Amino acid sequence: MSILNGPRLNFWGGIRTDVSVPNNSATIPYNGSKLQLFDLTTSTLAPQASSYTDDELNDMINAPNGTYYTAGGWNHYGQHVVDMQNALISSQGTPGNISTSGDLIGQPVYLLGSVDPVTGQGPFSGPMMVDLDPTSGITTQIFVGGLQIGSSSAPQLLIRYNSVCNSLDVAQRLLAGETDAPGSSLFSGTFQLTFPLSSIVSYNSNSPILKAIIEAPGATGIVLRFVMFEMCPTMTTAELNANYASGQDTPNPSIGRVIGTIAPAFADEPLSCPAGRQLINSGSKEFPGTGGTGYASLISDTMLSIDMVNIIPKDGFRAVRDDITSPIGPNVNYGTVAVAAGDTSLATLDPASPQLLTYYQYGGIVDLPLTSTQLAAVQTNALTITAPNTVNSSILNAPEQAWRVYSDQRNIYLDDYDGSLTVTLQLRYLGQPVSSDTEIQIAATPPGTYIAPKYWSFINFPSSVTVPANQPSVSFTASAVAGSSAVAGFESLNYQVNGGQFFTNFRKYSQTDFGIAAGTTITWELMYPNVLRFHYLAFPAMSRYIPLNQPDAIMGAKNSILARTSDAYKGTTLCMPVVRSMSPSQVALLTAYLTGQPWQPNPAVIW
Amino acid sequence: MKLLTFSLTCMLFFSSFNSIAQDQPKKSGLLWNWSCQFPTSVPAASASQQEFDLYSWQMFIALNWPAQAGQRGQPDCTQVIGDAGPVVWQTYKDVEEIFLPDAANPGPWNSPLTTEQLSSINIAALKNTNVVQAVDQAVGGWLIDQRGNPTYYEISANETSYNYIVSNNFYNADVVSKANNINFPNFATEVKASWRMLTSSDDSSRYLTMQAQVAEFNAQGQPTGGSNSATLGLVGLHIITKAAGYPQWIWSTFEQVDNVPPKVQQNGQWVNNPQQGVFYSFFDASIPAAALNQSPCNWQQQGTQLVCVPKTGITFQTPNPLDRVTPLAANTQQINSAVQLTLSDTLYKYYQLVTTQRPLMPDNPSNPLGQPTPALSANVTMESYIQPNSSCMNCHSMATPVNSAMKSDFSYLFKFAQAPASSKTSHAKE
Repeated sequence: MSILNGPRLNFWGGIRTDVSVPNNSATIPYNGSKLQLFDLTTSTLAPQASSYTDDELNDMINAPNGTYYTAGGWNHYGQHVVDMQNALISSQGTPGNISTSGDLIGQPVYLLGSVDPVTGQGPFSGPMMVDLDPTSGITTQIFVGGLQIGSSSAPQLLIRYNSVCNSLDVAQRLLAGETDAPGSSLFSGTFQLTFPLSSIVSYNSNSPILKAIIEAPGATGIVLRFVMFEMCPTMTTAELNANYASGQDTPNPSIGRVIGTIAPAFADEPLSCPAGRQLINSGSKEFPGTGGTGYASLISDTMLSIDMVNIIPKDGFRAVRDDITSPIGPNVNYGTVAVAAGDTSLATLDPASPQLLTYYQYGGIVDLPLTSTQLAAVQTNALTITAPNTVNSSILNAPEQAWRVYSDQRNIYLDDYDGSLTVTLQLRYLGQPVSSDTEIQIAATPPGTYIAPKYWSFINFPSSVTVPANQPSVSFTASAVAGSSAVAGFESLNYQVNGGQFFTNFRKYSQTDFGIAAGTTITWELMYPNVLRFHYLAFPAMSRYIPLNQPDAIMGAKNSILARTSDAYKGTTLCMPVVRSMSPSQVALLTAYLTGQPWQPNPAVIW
Repeated sequence: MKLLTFSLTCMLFFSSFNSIAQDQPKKSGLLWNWSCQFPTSVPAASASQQEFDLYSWQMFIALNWPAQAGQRGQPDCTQVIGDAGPVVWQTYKDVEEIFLPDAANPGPWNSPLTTEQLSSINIAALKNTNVVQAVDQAVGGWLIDQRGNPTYYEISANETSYNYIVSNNFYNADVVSKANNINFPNFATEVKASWRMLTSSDDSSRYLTMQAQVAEFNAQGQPTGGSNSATLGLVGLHIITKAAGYPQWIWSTFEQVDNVPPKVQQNGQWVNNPQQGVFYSFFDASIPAAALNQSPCNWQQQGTQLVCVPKTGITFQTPNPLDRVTPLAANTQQINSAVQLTLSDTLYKYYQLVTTQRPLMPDNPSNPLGQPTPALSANVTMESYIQPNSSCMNCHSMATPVNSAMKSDFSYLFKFAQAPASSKTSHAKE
């Protein structure tokens, strides 16, 4: 299914994610203790910080913090753009017949930003990486406006479509990361996007592989799965500190590797998460696994395809920090890799074979021919991927997670749904709908560092739902708790069934009048501390477009701001702010300031 | 010709420019044969910052070459830089010559220079009138130098840019506000200049100067309607050019060296290092650091306008002391020193490149802005109060014509476009 069961284009190369990070933590180290800097649930300054001037706070955020970047983290001036760097098509073909030669080999692959929804111009920005909960490592999203293969002057494929993908299967990918970098340098994240066929603007109809993908029988769209890993900030701690000290304030994007696959999408497949049977490198009791996740699918009675890109870790970080486009290099050599279904061997893979040695050229996907005996074993047994050797106290042992629960609903802004929405969960056992009624447990947790219950107890949900026998899915309602209109926070709903698990994250904004009486004329002094001050400090890159602390500049850009904070831009990469940290109430206050209309808080909600 | 010692680095760079040097007459003191022509080749995107900085200097020198009499925008290559007379960029058409009242066609490029040009300069204080949109000039308010005089601004376009505007009727606000495909051709170039009034206490030999009629303002910064004759000295020059392969343009900014003191690093901190005997036009060593780079304005909403009301104790004569937030990069300083040596017999040795901002990846569809490099670019006389966040490319990527949401290809020129009389009448009736 999905990237596994049709013609494919595989690519690899470099990727950059220019996220700003001062908002990753509500506090900064200051004078030997911690200063509460922001309230990230309301996107305002904490009371303890508000008495400082903006210049003082910027200096505090940019102050060196020993051997690990600055008090505000490794990228104060990030603009959130995600861009591919020399990511080139490396192989193409059909399952079992993937070749490193073909008409599109060497063509670049680009994610695109959005076309302006009002003027139709652009794109003027790239895709935007946004954390739904900035304090969490599991709520990352990338807002995207399309996909392009080939150069702008001679595109092979051009898609315009606003969509969002989410970090999935975040797990250890390297046994050892970069030392002068966040701990996330060890990890990988998987993202998937599905574009409907109707969003294709143009393509080279003379390309056999593009024709095969777009005209695949039953195809409804094009699916893109990509994995980023070996990520670290471009600059070292010393380089960043020197850069800030000299007032250069350069963005310091995280840079790393990307491996991806483009293929036809089919009806009834998940849009934003991989389809197929899930294998997780769980290791053993003695050597816990990395958690790398793979997916397998029977694509016919004679072939099993496995997306193994995350299953086997890489030993260490690349030798040259900023070299993200040289060959990625092999993964850990655990010896001959065995793939089995129950006790039935399906294949053995030599570490020196192209499938493992240069796996990145093939999207990390392995196609295994099956006999009828093997087919029967696959249909009735859990899959496993193992290898004999122990390397650096790690082993390869990736059994199938037989019960798999998943959903296309990963990161939700509750206010976008007026406080209530239906969540649909998919459930499979060995890749098939369950044969008997099966209960999925649901529990809430905080996704990040806002762990006080008031920040993550705003959703009504059932404690369990039952998937009927032979049905693929079940739905339930998630709604805001009555009386929670003033609450702001982040909450995860976790789904569990016999070891299978998945989660959906929610963000809820506070509905507030800021203590300002209706009818008041909104001045800069009323608006700035409640709306723009947080964004001026936490996302200073915005001020390189419009100085957020300058009344004349804000008023001069009135029309642009009113447009980009409107609903028309919400699903685009042009939304202001791109990080979606401005609540509807804050937008209303900013609008009242810009338009001169008397203050009228948003209508009260019943939540 | 006296012998001068270049650093090895500079020697290497200058040797690489042998290929672009033209056979120009040499003048005593000029150690390099700079070309009088605007450079037609641009460094590749992978080139170093120093290569872009040298490209900026090539532009600066070509633009400050004496202009050919009777031929706007063309250098007189029989002269050398520093010779008397209007320089090339001063013969470009400024916004008052391009955007005429009632959207009249401004005519062919090569119209005669007129004395009106000298009175058509725009000044920073226009921001608190209704004439120019706030975003068109440095943000934050007017800029008074240490002699108590205002800084004046003007914006001009070269022939390529001008012809594009005229051929598309984009001088007409009604036309340009509906345009959804503004796309200047390669070599379109705009220049923004800042000038201060020179007094008898100033050494005018350190400036490019011009005589102009300058508007007069009262103590509150309101125009009186009068004007005065003044000798102006160039203190800042932005050059932006749409070089081939750079749809995001290339952004160079120069300053007169006496604007603010240079910075030096002491104990890990960058501090001002005023030179003895130099009068800094926009710096006061006695002012505490926290009081530098402060806008004179409290902004007040008056009707539909945001008006600059001077802060308590401040008038239109009160100096606004500045300092440079981002020190010049070492490599840029190195290039400046080397180039200034080659200009040692001219006033241009008193000018310095602040930086060249350009897209690091001009052709990456995932990143249409191309990653502005360096991230910040600020001229203290133009982005005085927003230096910590000033990026020419980011700011200009937001540019639109007046009354339009359409992008205008990084150019704010169209904010000056005027509507035809008929349109004004119909709007009035509405």
